[in-house]
Amino acid sequence: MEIFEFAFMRKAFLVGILLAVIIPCIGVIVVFKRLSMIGDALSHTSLAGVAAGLIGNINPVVGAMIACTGAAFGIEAIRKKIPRYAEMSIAIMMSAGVGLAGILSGFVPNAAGFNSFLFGSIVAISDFELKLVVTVSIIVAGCFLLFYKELCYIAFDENSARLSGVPVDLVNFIFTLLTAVTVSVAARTVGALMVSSLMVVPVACSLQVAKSYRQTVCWSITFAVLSTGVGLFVAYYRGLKPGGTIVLTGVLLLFLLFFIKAVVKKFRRNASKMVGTQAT
Amino acid sequence: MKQLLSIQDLCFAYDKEIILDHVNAEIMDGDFVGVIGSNGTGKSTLIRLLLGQLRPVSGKITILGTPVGQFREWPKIGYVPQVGGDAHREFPATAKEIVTLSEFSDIRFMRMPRRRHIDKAVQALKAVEMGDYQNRQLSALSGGQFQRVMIAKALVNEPKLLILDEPTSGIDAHSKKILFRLLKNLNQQGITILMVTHDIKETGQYVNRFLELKDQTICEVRIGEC
Repeated sequence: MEIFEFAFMRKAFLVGILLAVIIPCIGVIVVFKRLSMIGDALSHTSLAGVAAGLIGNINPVVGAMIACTGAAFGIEAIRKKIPRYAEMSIAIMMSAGVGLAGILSGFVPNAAGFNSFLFGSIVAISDFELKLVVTVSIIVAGCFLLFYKELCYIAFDENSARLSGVPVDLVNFIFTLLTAVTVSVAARTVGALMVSSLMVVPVACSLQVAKSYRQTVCWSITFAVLSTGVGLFVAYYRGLKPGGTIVLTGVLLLFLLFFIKAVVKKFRRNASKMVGTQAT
Repeated sequence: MKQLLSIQDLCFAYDKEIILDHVNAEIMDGDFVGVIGSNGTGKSTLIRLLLGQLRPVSGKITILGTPVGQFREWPKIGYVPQVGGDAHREFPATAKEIVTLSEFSDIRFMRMPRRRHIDKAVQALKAVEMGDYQNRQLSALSGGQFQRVMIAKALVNEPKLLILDEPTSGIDAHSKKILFRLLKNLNQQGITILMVTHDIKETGQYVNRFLELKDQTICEVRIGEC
C-alpha cells in the first residue's frame, strides 16, 4: 500500500496505535471517577510546559510532561480539599494552565512550533518522541494490567476499596502520574485541544456495546485503534489534519453506534409486539 | 455471648456542632440491631466512626476486641454503604465482577483473581438468590437486586459482622421484604448485623432490638415502643 511506503506514515501508525491502546485505559478510569474533563485540563496545562520548553530550549514534550505532572497532582490536592465538588478542581487547574500558557506563549521565539502542539502533528514525530511514546506505552499498559482490579475498585467506590485493603493513595498517585505522562505525550501527536476526546469518546462508544467492565476496557481500546487507523487513512488520502480527523472519526463512530442501537431497540420492540399480538 | 463491637463514651463533633455526646453501646455476637433516628441525628456519622473513616473527639470504639484505629481485619466486617444516586449502579461491571473485587485481601495487591475467587463470588451471589444474575450488568438490575449484590459483596469474605447503612432506601415494598427476610436468614446462620434504617415498622419483626439516636445520644428502644 502506498501509504506505508513512507517512513513518516509508518511512524505515525505505530505512534497512533500505541496511544490508542493506552489512552482509553486511562480514559475508562477517568470517566468512571467522574473526572472526564481531566484530560482537557491536563492537555491545556501541558501547553504551558510546551511554551516553557520552547523558551528554555528544552524538548517541549519534556516540558509538557513536567507541567502535566504538576497539574495532575494539583487537581488531586484540590479534589481532596473539596471532595463534593471534584470537578471544580479540574476547572481551577485548567484556568491556571491556560492563563500560564497564554502568558508564556508571548515569549516563545517560534510560534509555529507552539501552534503544532495545539492540533498535534503525528506525521512529524521525531525519533526521540517515537522512543518516548514506545517507553510511555509499555509503562502505562504494564501498570494498567498490574493495577487492573485496584483501579476498577477505586473507580467503583473509593471508600469500599480502602476498607478492603486497597492502598488507595498509592494507586491514585501512580494513576495520576500515568495520566499526566500519557496526556503530555498524546498532546504532541493528536494535539492538546483533542487529547480529552481521545480519552472519552472510545469509552462512550464502548458503553454502547459492552456488557461488563472487562468488555468496556477491551471495546474502548478497539474503538480507539479503529478510529486512529481510519482517521490516519482518511487524513492521508484526503489531505486532512490527522489529529482532527482521528477525533472526528471517533465521534462519527459514536453517532453510528447510537443510530444502530436505536434501530435494534426499535426492531426488538416491534418483534416483541408482534409476538404479543400472535399470542392473543 | 461474645462482644463484637463496643462503643464507650463516644463524642464526635463537626467543627463546633456536637453530633454524638458520650454515646455508649455494645453489639453482641449473633445480634441483629436496627439503628434508628431522625435525619441528621448522626446515624451515618456513627457508621463512619465504626469503620474508622472519622476520628472521634473522645471515647473508644473496639471491634472484635481491638481499638478501631488499630483494627486491620476489615474483611471480617462486611459493609453495605448507603446508595446515594446512581453513580454506583451505572458502573459498567457485572454483579460477579463487583463481588470478586471485594476479595482483594485474598487475591492480594497487583494479582489477578483466580478461578476459586470467581467461584466464591458466584457462591456469595447464590446465597443472596442472585446466582442467575451473576453476569448481568449493575445498570440492568433493579434497586432491590442491586442491594442484594452489595450484600453478596459484603458476604464474600465470610464476615463476622455486617454493617448496612439504610439498605432499603429507594427500593419498593416487595423488594424490601425480600431483603429483610434475607438479612434475617443470614442472622440465623450466625452473622451479626447492625443496620441503619428508617423502616421501623417493617424491620420490627426481623431485628432483635433497636438503638435510637436522639439528642446526641443513643438509647435502647424495645420493639413496639418506637
